[in-house]
Amino acid sequence: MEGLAELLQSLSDQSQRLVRRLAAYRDLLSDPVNNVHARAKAIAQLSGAIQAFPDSEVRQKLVEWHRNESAAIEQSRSEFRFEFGRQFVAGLEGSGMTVKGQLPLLRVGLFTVRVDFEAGSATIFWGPEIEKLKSGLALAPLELATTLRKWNERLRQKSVEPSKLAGRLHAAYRRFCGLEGLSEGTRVFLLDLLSELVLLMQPESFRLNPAQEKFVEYPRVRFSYDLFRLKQAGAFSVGEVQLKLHVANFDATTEKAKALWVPDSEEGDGTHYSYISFSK
Amino acid sequence: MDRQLARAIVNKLGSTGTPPEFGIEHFTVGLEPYLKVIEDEYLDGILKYNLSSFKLITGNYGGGKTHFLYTVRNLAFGHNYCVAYVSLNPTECPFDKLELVYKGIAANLIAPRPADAPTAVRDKGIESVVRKWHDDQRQLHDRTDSLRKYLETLPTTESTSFSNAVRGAFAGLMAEDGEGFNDVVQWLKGEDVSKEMRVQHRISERIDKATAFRVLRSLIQWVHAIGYTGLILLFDEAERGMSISSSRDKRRALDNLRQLVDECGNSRLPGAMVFYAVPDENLLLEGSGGVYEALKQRLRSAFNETNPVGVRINLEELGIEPAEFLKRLGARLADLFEAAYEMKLPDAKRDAVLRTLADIAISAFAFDVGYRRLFVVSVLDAFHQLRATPALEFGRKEAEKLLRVTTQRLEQTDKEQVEKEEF
Repeated sequence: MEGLAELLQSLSDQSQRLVRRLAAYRDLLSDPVNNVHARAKAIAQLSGAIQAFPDSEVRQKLVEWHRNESAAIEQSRSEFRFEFGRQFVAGLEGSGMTVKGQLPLLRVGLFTVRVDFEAGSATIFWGPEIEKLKSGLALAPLELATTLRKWNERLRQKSVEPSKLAGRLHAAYRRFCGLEGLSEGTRVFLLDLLSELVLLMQPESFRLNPAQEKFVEYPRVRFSYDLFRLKQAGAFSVGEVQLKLHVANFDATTEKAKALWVPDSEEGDGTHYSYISFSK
Repeated sequence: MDRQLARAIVNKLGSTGTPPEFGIEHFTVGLEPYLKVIEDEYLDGILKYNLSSFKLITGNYGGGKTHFLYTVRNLAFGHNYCVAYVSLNPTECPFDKLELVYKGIAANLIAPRPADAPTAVRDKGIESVVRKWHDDQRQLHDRTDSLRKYLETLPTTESTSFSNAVRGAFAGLMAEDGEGFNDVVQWLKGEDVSKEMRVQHRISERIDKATAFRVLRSLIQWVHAIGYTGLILLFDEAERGMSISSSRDKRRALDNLRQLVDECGNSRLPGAMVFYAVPDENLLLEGSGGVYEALKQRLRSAFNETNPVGVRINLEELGIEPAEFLKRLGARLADLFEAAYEMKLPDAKRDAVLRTLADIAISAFAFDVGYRRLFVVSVLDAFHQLRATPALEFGRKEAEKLLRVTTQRLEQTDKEQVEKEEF
């Protein structure tokens, strides 16, 4: 009698855990292809639980089910991959963003998407794998397309009007040169100017109370996009002075503080710039 | 069409989807406008005025880069150019080590020849070009002193060592001195030779990173001097030749490329044209290891029928819709298959196979292994099935399954190929 109750209790606990996991797994089978990565993760976790189950006819059945399900997952993976490109492109239809490249790396307008079919995740970059915007995204083609559409639209909506940006850049440039004792015409790192620019962009409420909630952010990606719009518009004149962007050298392109990638076209071509200057 | 040739082409295409280096014109589709410009403007144009040019070829994996390069090679042979097709890779032929690139060129140098059969190993390499040069001159000069005089008046090259080496090799053949010939050819191939041998032939240089560019220019000058129109260099898989670990190596490789681009156009490379093929220029020019903006700007302009001076030839933009491209390609593959197996595929079934596979390859596999290569391999597989079972029903379901299996197989093959070569 001794120990038997504990043994049965342990068996009951294990059974209940397995039942819960199997029930959760059954839910995933409502959409076996799109849930393939979640299924793969669940089946891997189930493997340990099944192995730990006492040797019995039940375990044999569980092992056999696990084997069959693993094979079915491979089949679903293949189907998922088969559908991915088609669904992704369908999700982007009408967005104006072109899709180029080959899986696992696709260029979508000004963004790059790297997909990992094994892990079932995706990473989105700004430009050609320059600025990582978000990693570990679920590999769901329609969701990814929606995210990209949203970011693309937000960039456009929040974009600063080119001539206004040129004026602000000039103000920031003069301020920076004044602080550093540099003469006008000197080349200044674009990223040094970004912090000055951000300060100039803050609302009056931030000046009165520089608290986090009053702060208006201006990330690199928006700066990069706005410079693209400025280049497109040819808005290089500010009064009598001309704005000039200076191309980065090879070493500078490896340092975030020394170079900024700026698109040249909607198709995702771009140039790294290091410096900015204003001169007559 | 010759049955054996057709069967060899079908076999090569059907197994890996990569083109054979012979009989390429039997399944070339859509390249005609580009090729015409290359022929008129360059091969039969400015290169004959001793100028040179550089083109960057871009196209997805399985998108026809190798096919394009082979087609250019055949065109070049027709205009009396020597050609070297060099497949770059990180171990044997990385672009940051120009001395190894020179070695690759020397090993793959071919004098003009008919393009409808595989090139025998003995017809490939600088050794065979020197032998052919000697044999041709021997026929023109019936007396030894006349032949010797020809050799003496041969224009010298930028590298005197190179000039002395080719003269030494030629003289070795004249004197039927096989050992002497082999010694000098060893140096011309970029291999190490003894100091005594170098002294004997007045070769003062080694072919290393400091001299490789000069020796390469000298090779081009020599090819031109011995009567060929020039030299066409075809670099394939260039992204693999750049897949090197450190930022410093990448920079060196890009520096070499920039120098090559800049050299093209000056008179030091008479009649030379360089084609450099990559899947996506961003693989080469972008990335975490540093970006060479100066090079990017040089390679930016697009080549097409209206702008022949453009540098970048994009094989994804052939001016034909993908469906039309695959339709025409499918028809040519069917002709090849029927010639290879001396049979006639049932018209209705053949057309259904081509239509269904083309439709799904474009819509669902556009971003996979390269829908063109996928289509080629799958079509030939389906034709084999049709040959074995003429009553075969081949619908969308069968087509999807075949394309999926073929994608996995091609990806696996590519992966194994890369692992085999790099490690």
